[in-house]
Amino acid sequence: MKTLKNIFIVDDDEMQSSMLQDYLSKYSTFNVHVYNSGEDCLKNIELNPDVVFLDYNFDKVGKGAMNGVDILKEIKALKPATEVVMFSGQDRIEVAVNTMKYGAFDYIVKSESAFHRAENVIFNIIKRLKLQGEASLYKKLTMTFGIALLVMIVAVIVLYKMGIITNNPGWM
Amino acid sequence: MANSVNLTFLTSFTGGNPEKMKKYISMFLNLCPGQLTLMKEQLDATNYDGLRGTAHALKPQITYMGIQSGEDLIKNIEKMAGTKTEVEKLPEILQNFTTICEQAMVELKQEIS
Repeated sequence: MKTLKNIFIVDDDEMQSSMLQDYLSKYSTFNVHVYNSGEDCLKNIELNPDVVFLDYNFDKVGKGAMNGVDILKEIKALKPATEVVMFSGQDRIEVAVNTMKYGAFDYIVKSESAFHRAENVIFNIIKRLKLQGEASLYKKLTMTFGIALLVMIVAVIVLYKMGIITNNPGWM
Repeated sequence: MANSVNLTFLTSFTGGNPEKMKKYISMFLNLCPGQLTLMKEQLDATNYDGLRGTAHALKPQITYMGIQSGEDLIKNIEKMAGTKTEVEKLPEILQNFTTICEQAMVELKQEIS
């Protein structure tokens, strides 16, 4: 079953990144990588992050820097299974809706509760991965059972045609 | 004068670890003066988009440092600069915000000294 291992934090706000990294450091099973631009994140995308916490604005990086939505689109195009969680100081609903439209898993407003929410989002993603794993297992079991049943039916027909089994077995 | 900073959140976030508190307060003290200067320059140059961006970036730090009296002011600066409405009020609001931040920085320096 797939587990959550690599987490990227992509934010040009050093304090925000550092606080989130510290908050997540209590979970020693996660490898947390921090990048201060979308370009740096994309350069390292082959590390296959399971979750990317991505800032919405990259004003500090410079005028030509990719914005959060562009980076989100690029990540989803390169790694569709990676879940992207947007971080922003904007509490406007249309900003959140816009990011969800492009495949963001969730949207977190930078506030005192942001770190706790980030932790909850990780738990939700783990829960979803677990459910997906279980669904895949049930699918395989159902298919195996279906094939076994089919083989048994074919075997009965063949044996019947060969006369090995009849409508009136001798013990009746 | 009443305290400008309320470190309840930061204390809870760091579990009261003085090293971590110092780390985040130092980050803020390094960041804030430059951001205040930049906002003043952007306002003087009527670069409202730039001002909105700087205010937006500083907003979470103001919350994390518990500078409660500055929270509404920075939100207003971001909003007014973003919508370019009531811009004539911006110099006074920015001045008030700067005064609050300067007082907060004095208190924060005392906190980590």
